[in-house]
Amino acid sequence: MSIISVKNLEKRYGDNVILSGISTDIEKGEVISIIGPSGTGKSTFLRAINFLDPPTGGEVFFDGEIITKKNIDAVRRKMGMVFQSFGLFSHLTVMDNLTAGPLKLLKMPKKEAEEKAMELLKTVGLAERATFFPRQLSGGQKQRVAIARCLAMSPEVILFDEPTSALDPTMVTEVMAVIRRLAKSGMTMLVVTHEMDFARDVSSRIFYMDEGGIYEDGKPAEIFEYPQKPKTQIFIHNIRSYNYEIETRDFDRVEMLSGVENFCFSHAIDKKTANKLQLLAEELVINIVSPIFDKCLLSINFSEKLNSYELFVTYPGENSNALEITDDDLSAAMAEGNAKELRHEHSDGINTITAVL
Amino acid sequence: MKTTTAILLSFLLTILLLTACGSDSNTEIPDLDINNENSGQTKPVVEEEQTSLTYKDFSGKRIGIEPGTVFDIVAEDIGAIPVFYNEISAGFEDVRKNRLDGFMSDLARSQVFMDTPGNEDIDYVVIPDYIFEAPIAAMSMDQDVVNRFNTFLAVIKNDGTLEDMHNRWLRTTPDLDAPMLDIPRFGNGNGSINVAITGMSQPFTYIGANEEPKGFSVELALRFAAFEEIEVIIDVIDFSGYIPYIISGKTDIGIDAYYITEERRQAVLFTEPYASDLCSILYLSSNDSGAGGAQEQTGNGFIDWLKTGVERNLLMDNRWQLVLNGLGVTMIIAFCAQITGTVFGSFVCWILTRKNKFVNWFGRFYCGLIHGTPVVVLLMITYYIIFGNSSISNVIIAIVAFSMVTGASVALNLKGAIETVDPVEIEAARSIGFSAFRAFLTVTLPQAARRAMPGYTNGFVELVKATAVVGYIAIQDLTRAGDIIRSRTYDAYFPLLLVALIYLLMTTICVQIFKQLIKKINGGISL
Repeated sequence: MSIISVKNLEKRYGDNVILSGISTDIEKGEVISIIGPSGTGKSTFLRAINFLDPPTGGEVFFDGEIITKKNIDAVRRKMGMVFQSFGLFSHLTVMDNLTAGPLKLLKMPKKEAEEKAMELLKTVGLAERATFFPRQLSGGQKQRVAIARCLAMSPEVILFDEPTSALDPTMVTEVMAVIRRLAKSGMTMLVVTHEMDFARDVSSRIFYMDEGGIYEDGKPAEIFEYPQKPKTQIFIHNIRSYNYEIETRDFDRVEMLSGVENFCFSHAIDKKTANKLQLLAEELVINIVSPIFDKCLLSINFSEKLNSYELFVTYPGENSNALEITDDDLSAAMAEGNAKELRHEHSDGINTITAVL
Repeated sequence: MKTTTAILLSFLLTILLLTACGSDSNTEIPDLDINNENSGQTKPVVEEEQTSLTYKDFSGKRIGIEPGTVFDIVAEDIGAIPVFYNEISAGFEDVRKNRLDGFMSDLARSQVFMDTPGNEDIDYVVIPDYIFEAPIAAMSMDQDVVNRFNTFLAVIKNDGTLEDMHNRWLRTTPDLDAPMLDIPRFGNGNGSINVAITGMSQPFTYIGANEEPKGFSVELALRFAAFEEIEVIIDVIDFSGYIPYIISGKTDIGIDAYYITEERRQAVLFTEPYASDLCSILYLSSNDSGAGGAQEQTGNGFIDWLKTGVERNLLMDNRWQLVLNGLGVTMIIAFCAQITGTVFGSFVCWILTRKNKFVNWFGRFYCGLIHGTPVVVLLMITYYIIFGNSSISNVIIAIVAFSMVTGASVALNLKGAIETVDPVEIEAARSIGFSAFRAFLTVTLPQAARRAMPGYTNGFVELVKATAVVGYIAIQDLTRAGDIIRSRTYDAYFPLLLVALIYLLMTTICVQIFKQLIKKINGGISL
């Protein structure tokens, strides 16, 4: 029997339908990543499952039992939730945050609750912070405490609502490590996430959410390598490429370059390739194309075919090769020297300069 | 505790400065008067011989009078400009400071005022009886009581008792500290009567040693009760609340020093008059003799001022008891109102956080209404309208009124504090399995209570000070104790400063206690 069964779930705010007709079964031990563009109801779906925002239609079953407003408090003891902004009880110490539920709801003896809490704090690496207050912890530490607090109730399922979105990039790793370990231990999890590495490598199943429901449902390999439906394909493509649109020659150069840097970082591109990509973006867009044509578009993609990165600068207009008409010969030479291949094409009134690394 | 000491020190300094200034003006003004060309316009021209001044000299001058009297009409009759003062002692300070030219009062009270130590610089002129002579009578709302009192009056007029009372109290300057004549008192076997007095109209009514009501009118009330062989209960009410107290039927009869006037006759029933009085104007007698009283204060400095102040205002007639009892009453009202107000305020806060529009509107309306109304008005409304016909003790009514005020501010304060709690924390508690109510108890309340604490402490201090108006409904609190002492000693500064100091001490101590309490519930961490 499925641990969570969703039947025809609907959620609307007035006339505004957020989710409709969602039906799915989640088995014990599954690790499900919920991905998709913002505003497609990923968080709303999680919050509807545990009735923090009760669904306006359909049913949710937990362990075969239908969830109602009456039994929800009992169900929630077995279905934990981790929030984007942690939600630690700020007036209680780390230890008291962990023992509040077991003591008051499960009527666990104090000694046992504290021993268990200490054990959990050790597994998330925060045993020495037991007497600290939440405000004395870093964001990553807070989220690890929140996960431990969830585990203190010995839940059967944990819902993660963008657990690393509010964190500094440097703190994402420590929290993801804990979540990965938890996934490997066999815990049933639903994770709304933007961490594609996690979705691809750790989860056993992916919900791609769009159009007010689960748009595509499959194993990570299926979704990431061979997405079946058009919106999934665009999404997967977009998360693997970087696009930056330039409107005038006085555009925000810092934003574009740091965007390239972030793309390189999040795709774990090696230092040498990253440097080349940044240099090409700088020479081609800032020094060659935008001074002449104003409007242009920068995109960086990973090409499966060439097993290499490609950088495109496109600009509208008649056939004219910016590389040839530019005054900046030094920049042109630099671009030439850093790309394995550098070519200009023109079709349908669009010029494209392609650089292959 | 450092701040406490600093506050106390600065307060003492202020007292020193104030008294110094007060004394300075006392001695300097007479000197200035001689040289100042304008003095003639603001102050009656004082001749070498005191007797030469008549009431006509006050035409066009500023004359202080107490509200609730008829002297404003008399002042206009003689062409003077009336300025209202709540008390004769405060008003006469302004005469000394040259802000007023004289103070109008009835003759009997003027004589007592003049004979008070420290007032040797004062003289008075009498307004002739063809301009003003008013009959003094008792007031009631009950025709039966009026008839009975009239019967009693007729008897004592015939047997010479009233004449004897006039001789002892009004025709000579009475010894106010002398014990009252022994008049038999009865239990309530044959019934009882409530008599209202102000306790601030020497020699008609005043508060003697051990808070004993004394005076001509008090003796009259005792004789009336003895005549009818019933129990007498004397209520002491502030001037401002006196007539409403009688009109609302809170008491059976008011026997004090009130004149029969047409306006009053519209509202209350008067008995036959039992006395009549003339009107007089008190003024600073002369430059030379005026310095006499004042110099006694200044010549020997602050320590002496303090010594005579304590002697006259606290030790004489055991007046410190009055202050102590007043302090007790103030504290009882403040603490009880704080406790009930907190409970009530929590309920109002619960209403304020409801989603139902009507219920929510009602809560906001209540808080707005209470916050937008002066406390003294609320107190009077509670007393005369809400509890108009009940026999509940005045102290309890005051507690109810102040609970309503505290309730509104506690509710708003608590609501604000609740709104500062991060909603995600509440969601987190719900997601663990806490019910809405238990999540409130575990997460919201502890945090909200901490954040509400500073405002709560502040609210208590405000409440303690706000209780100073309970004198309006016949409660003798700390402020009223100071007023009563002032009405006996006519000392403008000492009782005021004493009362202020006690309030300050009380609130400072309470704030410290609250702070320790906050520390305790915060587990030693200030949030």
